[in-house]
Amino acid sequence: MAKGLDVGTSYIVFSSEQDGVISYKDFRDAFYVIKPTTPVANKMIEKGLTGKIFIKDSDGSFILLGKDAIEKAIERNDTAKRPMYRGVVSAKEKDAKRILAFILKEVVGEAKVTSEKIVFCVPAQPIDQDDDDFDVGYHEDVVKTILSECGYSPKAINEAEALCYAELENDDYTGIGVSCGAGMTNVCVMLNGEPTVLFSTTKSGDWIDRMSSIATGEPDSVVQVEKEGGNFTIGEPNDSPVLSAVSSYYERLIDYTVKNLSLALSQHKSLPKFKEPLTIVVAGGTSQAKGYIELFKQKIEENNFPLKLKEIRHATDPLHSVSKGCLIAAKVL
Amino acid sequence: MINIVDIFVIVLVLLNIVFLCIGYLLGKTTLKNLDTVSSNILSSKENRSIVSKNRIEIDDTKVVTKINIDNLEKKYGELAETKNTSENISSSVNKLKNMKG
Repeated sequence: MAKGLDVGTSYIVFSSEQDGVISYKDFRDAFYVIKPTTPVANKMIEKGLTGKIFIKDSDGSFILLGKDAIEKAIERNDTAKRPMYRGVVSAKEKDAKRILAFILKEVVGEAKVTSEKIVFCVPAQPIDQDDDDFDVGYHEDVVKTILSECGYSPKAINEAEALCYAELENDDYTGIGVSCGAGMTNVCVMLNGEPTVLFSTTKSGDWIDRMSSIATGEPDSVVQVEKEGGNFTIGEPNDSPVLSAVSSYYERLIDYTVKNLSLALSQHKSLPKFKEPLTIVVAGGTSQAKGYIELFKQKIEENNFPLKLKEIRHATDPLHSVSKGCLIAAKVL
Repeated sequence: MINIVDIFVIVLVLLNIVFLCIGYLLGKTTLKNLDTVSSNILSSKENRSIVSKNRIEIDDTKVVTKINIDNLEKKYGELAETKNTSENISSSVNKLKNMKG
């Protein structure tokens, strides 16, 4: 038995396999706190939350979890909080570790056998930011502690590396994986199953939400929900001011990602010399926008990509690929 | 000739001198005690600051300590649904195992 876990800024995806069937359990990585001011308010709030996913804290606060948290935040013209920020445990949220621990334990459950293997993903160090607060080591330790308490034997791998394991079987595990998450974009250049280049950039889905929020005056959660509604195509005009801003920032994001990808690879000292043209596979929730892959291909051509490419394609299951890759790694390593 | 007024004044002056001496002696004794008390207070404060400087404090934003979630009460049935797929990863696993040796 082995398990895979994508600990994402926006989604937590748990994968397992039994009798040749892969199962996924997804949960939105968000929370929203409501503090009642009076005992009467306490009862009314609890009644109003019937049917929602929430927990109660010892100080009497109600903490909504997942998509219910986002919906409640939008109702109150507010933004839901996240236990993760840019792919790692948020240092800004004081409840981040507790909420993340709670959600992870609920999603993964107890290990079926003692020291059952579980592989989870972590981001790579960003190339576009010098940030002393970005501590992957600490994030890895937090997640390992939580999973160990559930009886697992946890191991971490890079997020884009996991994507390569899930999607590059037909390319003999040689190619490039680009995981476009909410917090960051992670890249892995893989050669015969070995990750040779790993890095990340700090602009991704959340950056689009933030910039569109500033441009339109709407809270981030509202922008996120409209964006995920999918009623827009990147590069095409839109009647909604929010989606128009989102489309515009998507163009900037893809341009930024491809420029950084090209630059990082052309400057990399130990980039392998590939005999054959490569495949780039793109995954992650942020890559699901209509027109993403088309614009990505266009930007690759415009930016003198340093490697010969045969194909740029979308992952078969962009939301679950990383978790599937972690599951494969758990069975191999 | 010394009259009663003079005697009264002399007695008053003498009494003043006596009370001055008593006051001086009392003050000296009290101050000595205060000094001891305040130096005791000072040294215990110093001791406390020395003790607190020597106390080891763990920065829990750098080192993972126990994450207590016992005081969070669950108020729902199932957190998330499980979705099954028809994907098969056995060929991926076998191929990767062979490549990694």
